[in-house]
Amino acid sequence: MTAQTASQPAQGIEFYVLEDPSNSDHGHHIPETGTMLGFWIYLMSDCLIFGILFVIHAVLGTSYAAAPSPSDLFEIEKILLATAFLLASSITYGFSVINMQQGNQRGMMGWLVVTGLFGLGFLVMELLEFQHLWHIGAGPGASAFLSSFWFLVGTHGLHVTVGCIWLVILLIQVGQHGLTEANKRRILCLSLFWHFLDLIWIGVFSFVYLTGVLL
Amino acid sequence: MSADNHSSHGSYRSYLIGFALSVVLTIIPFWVVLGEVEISTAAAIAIIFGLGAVQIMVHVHYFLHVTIKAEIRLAGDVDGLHGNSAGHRAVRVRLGDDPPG
Repeated sequence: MTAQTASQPAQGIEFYVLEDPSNSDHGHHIPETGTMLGFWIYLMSDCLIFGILFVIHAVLGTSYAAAPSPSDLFEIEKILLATAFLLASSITYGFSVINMQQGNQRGMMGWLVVTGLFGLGFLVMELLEFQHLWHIGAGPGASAFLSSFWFLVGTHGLHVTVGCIWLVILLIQVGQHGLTEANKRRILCLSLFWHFLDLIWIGVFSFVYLTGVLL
Repeated sequence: MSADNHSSHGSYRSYLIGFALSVVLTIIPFWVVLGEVEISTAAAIAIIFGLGAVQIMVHVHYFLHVTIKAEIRLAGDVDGLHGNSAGHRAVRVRLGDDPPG
């Protein structure tokens, strides 16, 4: 934590940090670019993780070991509903960012709440599915296919869970401190994260679910 | 600068276009599976993967706002390789939502 605090003397509690002090004395002043680039690098590393999990599923996805196969397990109608939740949450997050750009804090927070509810809806669908699979004995230990399924879909679900927690924290932050530069940067980072997870889900429903029940 | 930046964050219109495209690109593969369309498994998988790839590109473009356009900016005081600084042009690829500033 060597980052410098804001240059003006402490007025109340000032805990925001300037992450790239070298920018502060420059005329063009693009202080957030470093954070955004760093966050992109993180997302690409996440992309590698999911890429590996997809490859594992490609190798193991048909090794049923006499345990149930995708067409026995997956209820595609429910997957369609979960997909709709996630897709809707992507556009509502977009609306939230637009409201943020216009300086409309209430609009931004309102759309963020809607986004969070859609994300929660997706998670509920996923947990119900996992619960169902667990109860019928299709846990991650039942076959190689189910191991890679639980690992891949579970990792995605874990990401969405973290995204929801992050979203709630941001709502509190914005509620307390308003649309400060730091909060705007955080909202844009979560925006990238959220859209990225929706993008990964395209791969999941195409590859794991739709292709799974066809094979 | 904020006025210039606005377009890079997308507008209601661009988000709605991306959303509409995504809905179509999602419904078709689900319909292929749920509607028990009379095509071979190979053709069905080709449709699912093809449209999935297109939808990923739609998301990258309309939601993540990644474009391949290089962006020319005047960076007043870039030192480094070129020594003198004034008017040095920095080219960078736009990655997603630029922060406000």
